[in-house]
Amino acid sequence: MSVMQAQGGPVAASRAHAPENAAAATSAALSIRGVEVRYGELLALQQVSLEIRQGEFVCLLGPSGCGKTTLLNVMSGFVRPTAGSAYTHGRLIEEPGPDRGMVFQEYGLFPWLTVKKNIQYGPRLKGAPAAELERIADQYCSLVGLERFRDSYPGQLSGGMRQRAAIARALANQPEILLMDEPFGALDAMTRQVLQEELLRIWEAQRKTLVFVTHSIAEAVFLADRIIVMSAHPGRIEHILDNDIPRPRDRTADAHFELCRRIELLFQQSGRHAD
Amino acid sequence: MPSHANKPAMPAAPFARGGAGGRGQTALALLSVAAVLILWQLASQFEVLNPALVPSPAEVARSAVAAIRDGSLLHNTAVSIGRVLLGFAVALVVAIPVGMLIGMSRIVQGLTEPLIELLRPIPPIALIPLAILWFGIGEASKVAIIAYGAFFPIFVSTLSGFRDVDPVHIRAARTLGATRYELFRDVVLPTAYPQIVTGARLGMSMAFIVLVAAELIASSAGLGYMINYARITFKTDEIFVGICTIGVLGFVLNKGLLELERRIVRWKYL
Repeated sequence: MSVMQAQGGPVAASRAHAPENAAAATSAALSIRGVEVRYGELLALQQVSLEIRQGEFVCLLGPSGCGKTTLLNVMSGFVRPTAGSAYTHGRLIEEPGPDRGMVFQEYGLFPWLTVKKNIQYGPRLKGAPAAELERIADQYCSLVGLERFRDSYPGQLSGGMRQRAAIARALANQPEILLMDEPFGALDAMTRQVLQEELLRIWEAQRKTLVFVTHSIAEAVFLADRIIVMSAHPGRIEHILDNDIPRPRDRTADAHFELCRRIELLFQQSGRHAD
Repeated sequence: MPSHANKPAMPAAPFARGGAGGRGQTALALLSVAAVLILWQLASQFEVLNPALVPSPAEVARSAVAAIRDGSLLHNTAVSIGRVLLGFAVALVVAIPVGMLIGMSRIVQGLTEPLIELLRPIPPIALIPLAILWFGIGEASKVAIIAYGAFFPIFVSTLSGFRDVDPVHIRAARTLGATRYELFRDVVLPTAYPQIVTGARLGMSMAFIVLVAAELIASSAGLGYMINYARITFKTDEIFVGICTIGVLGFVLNKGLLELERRIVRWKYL
């Protein structure tokens, strides 16, 4: 049974402690080494080490305050670690860059631009010619099913459609890695499931490295290759679980429920629930 | 959750019987204006109101026609509009950069906020004597008063426009590869822009409000001068002509600017 192959923290942690030379890190899409983040007295992240492979779908799962968003922001470059360092494809992460696209829970679409112009924003900054911009708009509007709404403004769209547009915008910029911060957290349950399936379809087609923050166990189990279970006070990695449930996945399958139950028990043992 | 369907700008009155759309509204507005004019005319005709103090609409209209014929109304209006535009332009040129600088820096904001809050409640009219001392009784003092009046609405809106940039927009643009200059051009400016336009509209209204007071200072032309002169010569009909001209001008300008605002920041009025 694939679920039984899931590894506990200690095993994964030993693998995560890669040697401190850049050559070893080039193989990993993201390499987090001994990262600590302090906000004054608060220890938001304590000694976090993690390697994320190219093309992998990883979920950071945990209750609020466990530092999962902080860890994502270390990867994006918005948060500088107070100790340790983070690398992407062997390069030290010092600031945000277009190689690491990001999708936010609050969408972050520019309300003064149409869906099309939002999607074209990154390529336009890079100086893509007009014909190329048109092609990009066409391609990514249809990728997320927004062909009919390309000339709408974000204010005219529902939450689910806004998040589709935001995903299209991030992907249109051709990032190596896509970082998603609770992207479906503000959506209703039905829309959320539809978008999870769409995201998997897109990921399977493009095979971008994807790091996805969530506090929903079922979401992590449905989406991820690997689930990083985090806990709070101080924020740290508690377990790393491989999720080998074969794709396409079925939310009603026993394996799905079994892994959800396993993770739920992990949270109960550590005395904290993930919602 | 916002719907993506075209939603009506304003919900229809729940008890409205007729389907009073845009044209219905205009008809109602015209009806109420007409009703007031008729009542006013009747009240003057039957001397409910003292006709020396409140001339009838017909008399005001006659006086207006006379003022248009001899060119004085046009001349006075042109002079007033010139002052308003000049004062307004001065206010724009000062208020937008200052509002931007203060809005974009928390430190400057902390330093200037108390000063601004102290200055803001001072009505522009209270500064007229000072303006006379500083700028004399010529054009400069009038323009200065109008500029001061128009300054605050523009400044306050501009400041909040630059201050209220959504951090998630900044973050999104940075992950898409925007440089500092591009952040300013593509995120900060578009956020502030609608507020600046709104501020300009409010500033223009304020310029008109202050105009007459500014023109009460020894002037020899302008709508304020016209009204004041008519008071001295006890021509109440001409006072009314002046007042109505200002009212109509203000109304037309406000409507025009509102329309302009809707056009240039279309995404805000979806």
